[in-house]
Amino acid sequence: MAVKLRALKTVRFRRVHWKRAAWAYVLLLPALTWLAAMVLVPSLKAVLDSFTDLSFGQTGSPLWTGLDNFARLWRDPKFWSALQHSLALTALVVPLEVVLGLSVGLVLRRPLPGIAACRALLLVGWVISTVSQVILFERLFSPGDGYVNQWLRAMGLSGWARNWFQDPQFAFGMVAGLHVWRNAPFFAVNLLAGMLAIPKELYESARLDGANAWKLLLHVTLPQLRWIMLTLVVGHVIFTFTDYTLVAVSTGGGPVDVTEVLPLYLYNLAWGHHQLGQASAVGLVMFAVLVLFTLVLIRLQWRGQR
Amino acid sequence: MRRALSLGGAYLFLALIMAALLLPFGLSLWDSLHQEVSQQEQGWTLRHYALILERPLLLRALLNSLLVAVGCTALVVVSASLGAYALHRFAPPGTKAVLGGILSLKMFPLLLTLIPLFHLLWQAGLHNQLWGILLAQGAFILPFTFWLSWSYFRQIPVELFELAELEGGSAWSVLWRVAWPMVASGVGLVAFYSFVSSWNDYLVASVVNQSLRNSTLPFALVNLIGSDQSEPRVVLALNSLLMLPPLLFYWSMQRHFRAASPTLVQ
Repeated sequence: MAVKLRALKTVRFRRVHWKRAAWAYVLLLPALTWLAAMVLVPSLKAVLDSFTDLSFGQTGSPLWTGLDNFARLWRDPKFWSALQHSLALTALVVPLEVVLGLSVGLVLRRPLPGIAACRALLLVGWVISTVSQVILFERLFSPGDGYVNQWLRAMGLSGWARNWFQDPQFAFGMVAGLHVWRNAPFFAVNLLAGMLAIPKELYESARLDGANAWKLLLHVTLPQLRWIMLTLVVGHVIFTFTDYTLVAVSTGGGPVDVTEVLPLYLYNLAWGHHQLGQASAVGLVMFAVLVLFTLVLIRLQWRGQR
Repeated sequence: MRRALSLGGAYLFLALIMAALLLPFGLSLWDSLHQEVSQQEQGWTLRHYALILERPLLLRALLNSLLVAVGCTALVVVSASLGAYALHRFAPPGTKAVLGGILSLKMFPLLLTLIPLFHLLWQAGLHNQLWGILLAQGAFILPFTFWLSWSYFRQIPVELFELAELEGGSAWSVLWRVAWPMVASGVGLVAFYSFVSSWNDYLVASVVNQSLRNSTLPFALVNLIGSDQSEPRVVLALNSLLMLPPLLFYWSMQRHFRAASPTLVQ
């Protein structure tokens, strides 16, 4: 009798448990279906496509071509130059964002009058659309009546006035500047939040040991910020390396390809030449570079920790 | 003396940074409200904003953007809340797999996913449709907002739900009447993030839609710059309208932002 009762109880408990899980899956259904249909399936398909000659408007089904797409990339000098530009842009932009974000954060940490307003305004450039940002900067740097050219002329430096976004010498720097203007304040806000969370005792005991401001920064502040910094750096390496809009709308890859980065090269293959398989191969290479970079960085960080 | 110098240096540096941040906004807004120098009458004018009203395609783009962003926000907030609540409340088998899987979707390059997605939407007839833009944008906004919602829901102790159910509340009413109000500020942040992401998006919208009729504001603006008939100051005026919602949201969400910003890395 007792055994039977216990058995009954377990069955009932299990049924209730199963019912709860079923409920959970029903509630998860909208989100999971949406993600599966629009992100998971296309992502997996993209990986497979990169090994085929799939193109848009193709008659008949695509052929499995193995590593042909990757071999073609290997031989294409335009691919190498785009990769080089993307790496150079990322290597230029992210360290600048770290240094600038850190310095702004350090200044904003001081409890000076008026500092609250500055803190509150910091992300104005980060919240607007990348398209809006480019339009703002085109007003400043346009070739004819752009403000920068007007100022230069007013200062008697007419020789310096130019079409900034289409100048072979300056276009790359302009794109880098757009990235830094947008994201350095984001570094500052997050690093500031991290700094404000560091316990004051750490600074006091270091000061008792005779540390100066520079040593406090090097041995107290920076080590405490390392995880926020890691997250920010990884996030912005990904953003800079994969961003399409800022470059496409400002320079369109020009002039003479000096700002042609990998995302533009991919976009042009897929939506200019309809070579979907070939374009997917470019995307896979970009993904591989990012995964490799992230793993190396996390590895270094762990080692530094010990 | 040294202190005064360092204080002066700090303010000088801050002034430079704030000028660099705010000057582009100020000059563009000023220009959008003034006639061009070559024009006969100079001074303040709302003409460039009025001209937007005379261009049906631009008005339509404004309306499209609003529809898509509001619809996108509603769908994202509801599906993310339902899923996050389910994971926290019932902890079904596979919870960790779901959370890990959603996070790994975020790692995959957006451009790469867009290639087959464009093809799939074309086949489904959602290409050049507002629905297609909305669903595609939302799918890329959902992974992060799902995680964000989960991080808010999990702050509620599970015992509270059980108590509410003992009191006779159904699973639904517990969700809408007990859980949602408790994470209202979190849901607000999720809604803010979804709206602004959809409203600001250019890449996804430009891939899904090439028609002028169904274009959203960023796409219409880029087209307007490219077309010959564009008047530069109308572009600036329309751009002011494009920047308005994100800036308004930013100021109204200041407090939430500060609390949650370390996780807002895209």
